[in-house]
Amino acid sequence: MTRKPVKSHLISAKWRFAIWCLLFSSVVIYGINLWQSGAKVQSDILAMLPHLQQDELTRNALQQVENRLANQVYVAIVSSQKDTAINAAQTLMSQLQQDPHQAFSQVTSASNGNMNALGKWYFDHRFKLLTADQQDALATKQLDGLIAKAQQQLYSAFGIANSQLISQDPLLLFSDNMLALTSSSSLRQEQGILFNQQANQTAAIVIAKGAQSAFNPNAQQQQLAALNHAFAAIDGGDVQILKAGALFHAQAATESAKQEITFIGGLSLIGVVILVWLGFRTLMPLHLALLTLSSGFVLALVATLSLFNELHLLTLVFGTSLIGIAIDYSFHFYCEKLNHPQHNANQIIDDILPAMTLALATSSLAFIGIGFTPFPGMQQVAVFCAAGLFGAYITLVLAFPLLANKPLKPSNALSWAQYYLHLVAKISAKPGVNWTGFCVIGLVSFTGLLQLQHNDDIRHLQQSPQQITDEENQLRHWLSGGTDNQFILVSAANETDLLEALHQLASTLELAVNQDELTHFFSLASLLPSLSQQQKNYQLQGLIYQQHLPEIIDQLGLNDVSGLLNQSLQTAYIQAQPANLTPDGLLALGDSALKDLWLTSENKGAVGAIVLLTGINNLDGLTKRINHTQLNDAKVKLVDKVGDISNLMGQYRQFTLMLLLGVLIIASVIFCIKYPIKLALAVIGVPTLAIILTLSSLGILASPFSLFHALALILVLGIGIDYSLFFAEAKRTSRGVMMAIFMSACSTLLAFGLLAFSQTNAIHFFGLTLLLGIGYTFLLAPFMTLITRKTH
Amino acid sequence: MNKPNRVARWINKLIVIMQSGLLALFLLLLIAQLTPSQAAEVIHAQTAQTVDKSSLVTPADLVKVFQHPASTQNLQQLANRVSLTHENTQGLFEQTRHLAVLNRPLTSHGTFAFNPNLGMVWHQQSPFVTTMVMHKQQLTTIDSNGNITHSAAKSAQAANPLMQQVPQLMQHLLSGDLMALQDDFSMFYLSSDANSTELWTLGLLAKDPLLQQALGKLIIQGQPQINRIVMLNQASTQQADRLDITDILFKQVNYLPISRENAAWFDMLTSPSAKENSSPVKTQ
Repeated sequence: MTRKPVKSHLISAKWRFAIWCLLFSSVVIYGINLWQSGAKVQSDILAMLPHLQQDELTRNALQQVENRLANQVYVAIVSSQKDTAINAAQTLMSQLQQDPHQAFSQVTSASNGNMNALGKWYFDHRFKLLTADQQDALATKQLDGLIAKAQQQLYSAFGIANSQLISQDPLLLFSDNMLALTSSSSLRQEQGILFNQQANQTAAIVIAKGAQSAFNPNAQQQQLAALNHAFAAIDGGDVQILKAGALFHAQAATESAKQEITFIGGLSLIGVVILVWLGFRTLMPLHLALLTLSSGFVLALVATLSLFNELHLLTLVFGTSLIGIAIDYSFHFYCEKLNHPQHNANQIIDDILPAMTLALATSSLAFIGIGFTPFPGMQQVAVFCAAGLFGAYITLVLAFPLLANKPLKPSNALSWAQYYLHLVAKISAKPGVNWTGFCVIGLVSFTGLLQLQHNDDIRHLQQSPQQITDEENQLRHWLSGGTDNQFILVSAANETDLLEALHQLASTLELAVNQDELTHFFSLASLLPSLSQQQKNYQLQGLIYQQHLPEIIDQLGLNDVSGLLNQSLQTAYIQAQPANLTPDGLLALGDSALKDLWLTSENKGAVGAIVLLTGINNLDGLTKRINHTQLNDAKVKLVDKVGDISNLMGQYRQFTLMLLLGVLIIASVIFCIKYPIKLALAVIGVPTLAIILTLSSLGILASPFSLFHALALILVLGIGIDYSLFFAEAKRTSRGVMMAIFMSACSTLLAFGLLAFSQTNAIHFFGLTLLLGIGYTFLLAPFMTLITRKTH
Repeated sequence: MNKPNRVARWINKLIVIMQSGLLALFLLLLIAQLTPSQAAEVIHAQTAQTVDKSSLVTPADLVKVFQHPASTQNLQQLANRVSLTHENTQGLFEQTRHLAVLNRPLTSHGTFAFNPNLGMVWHQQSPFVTTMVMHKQQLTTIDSNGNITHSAAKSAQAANPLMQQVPQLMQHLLSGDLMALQDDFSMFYLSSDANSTELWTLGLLAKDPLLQQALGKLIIQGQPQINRIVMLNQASTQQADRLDITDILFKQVNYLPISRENAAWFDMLTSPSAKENSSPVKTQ
């Protein structure tokens, strides 16, 4: 890079431009080639989230739970008439299934398990099933109670007792077992539609699974269109539609992002145009700045695509910070040109090149620092911005000598800059003002830093409109809970141990429910007794079938003169001995959703089961309880992805701050070699002080510090060093620099400071930090001139 | 000689007395053993007589109704004839269950009450006391020992579709909403005469095959108010003619306000503590 200035002396402006043209056309051709070979824009926001370090089973578990829950849209059709609700739900389902774009891959309502086959399966294994009461009765050999109960059932016209059942299950033990096995939720199903009834209202529930991610804009549009079309078919009359799902959050996010892009983007564009017009009385600089920007953008795009083979939409959003710095280069060039009207473009570039090269180096350093964060999206941002800056730099060096040689009209903006610098000098000349200034800054920083808090919860980063959350809560109410993001993973060496462990865990969780740590939990254990329990149940029923069968037949008044009934019951009991209720059997017949709760390992390793949790009130307490639970031959842990990611965000927030410190130290070393110590300290001091002031301001504003604040601080550092570097290099006359910095600060504030007004917290944090940071840097940087004057 | 002879004769007498005593005791025991079944037979005979007296057809003959599909006109006519706009229905019931596998039919009787808003009380008084209260989606059973069982109809539904269907069916029937029944049931209708005092028979067959299997054939008779419900179920998969028959007769039906006893049952259910229990919970 140090060769470039030398090279620029040797080659004429035309040749340089030719080289630039050649370079960029080859980059463009390469880019087109990449695009055609399958590079794409990745718009799934989830792809931006960091990868967690997990063992295979946990990863599989998370994947299964996510597959189950991701891209699901829940719709409840509430009506005062049950039939209306059910019919509307059926219409909705068929409409969604007939959607020409197939926006939803699966539209379901009631359980798709074969209830009849499942009932038969349980009945075939009836000798392995006993309720707790029945176990007690049989263990204490109290058959009379069971017989009396069966007799009562025989009399009931609305009961289950009929000849077919009695001849297979004389004491009618099975129906109580079925009652115990069926879930206690108030959801019911009829005509293939799941519904819930509360206070004269019926809510029919339809669940649709998006074919693609709800965060993919195309899929999002298709899914919304399909839903709206289907809603139109059932709308009207006594029907209220409630909906929930990531889709609606994504839609809200997209809409607010669109509004913000138009508003903030438009405002910043108009602002920059006015700024350039006021500064230079011509729009030529804007024209060339645009060239710098677009060539930087092209290089950034091609570099990112060649490295990652895809471009994250988020990269584009954050990558626009490129504008903030790349535009500075052309501002510096023009301000210098305005300051030295007699110099030609070549000479001016020579003048600003040392500062620009240093600025490029430090900014790239800062961006590469961002690249070390765990976000795949952020790594792209780093490459994108570093490449973009390099593109802008190359354009300035190679294309400006020819294109920007046209002389500028004199403008009085320079004299304003001069006036401002004088003002700064005047203020700092008074020691009293200086001291009070230092004291105020010190006090403010101190109090602000004390108040600074941090919050790494990723749920805090996105806030959806109240209406969507309200609707979701209403629907959650109808669904009687739904499922929380957290779940418990139990793993064991084989299925038998696992089932045993799940039963063991159930008692722990019941205790947690009693202590109000959560409202409900569900695992396969509630549908399957453990193997040892099944064997115990079988042995207990020997009392009925092998010891007292004739008496029972007699007492119930069963007609068995031939003894056939006695014999067939005994045979059935003996034949049932080897067959057990197994998870495989249940999963083959049950609802397909159950399959997601059972993890089989491909490489004969551990098997795992998921326990779904609902209504967690005290996550810490529950985590502690689970961590202290010891299971025989099995491991248990609470998987909390949101919490894990939040923790990771916290770790990387600290890491980013360390990085910030690292960049500061490296930059100080570089500057100490190039400049006298005092100047070097001043160059570093300006951004450092700006960062400290930003942090304390965030403390005073009660904005909880997060990774996004930290990331913005890295940019503040990069831009801040640029500002002070240009002042340090300005030597004698700094009014050109002052004007350039004024213009670049204004453009950066217009481009990013406005992000502070975003509805999305992540963007708001980023924008707010930049607004404060760039603002402080801009106010502090002019004081550099005092030091430069003294040193030179 | 005499003395020993007298003694021997006395002993002989004693033996005869004891033998006859034993015989009598044995006979008594035998009679006592037989009495319950005989008694039941007598009762059965009596009920059969009452059935005959009230000119009720045997269940087997009732099946004929299923040869006559009901037209909308029939149902409309019936709905008009059977003025069912009463808010409350209560009275006595007599129930006979003939289960094919049992030696004897099971007879029971008691009181019932129905209110479209409150639900249904089925209070059996004989041969043992048990009460069933159906309110909204919840079924509560109080057995002869005073054990209370709450169960949500939903969970009961999986084990027993009857529990889910019967109250709804009763509601539609007793509130005269015959048209609503057409959604779920194929309807059959027989009437001896258009005359309002004559007997009418309504046959119901669930459209859903699973429900049909569970509910079997339902026959409702009225003269003109509903006075009999018969349920016919196949007792064996092999023999189609073996039937489980449940025959319920309603007597002394009135449409007065719900009696105090029945109101108390409903109150027990609508009290908040019971309402909260949606899962099967047993309380002593």
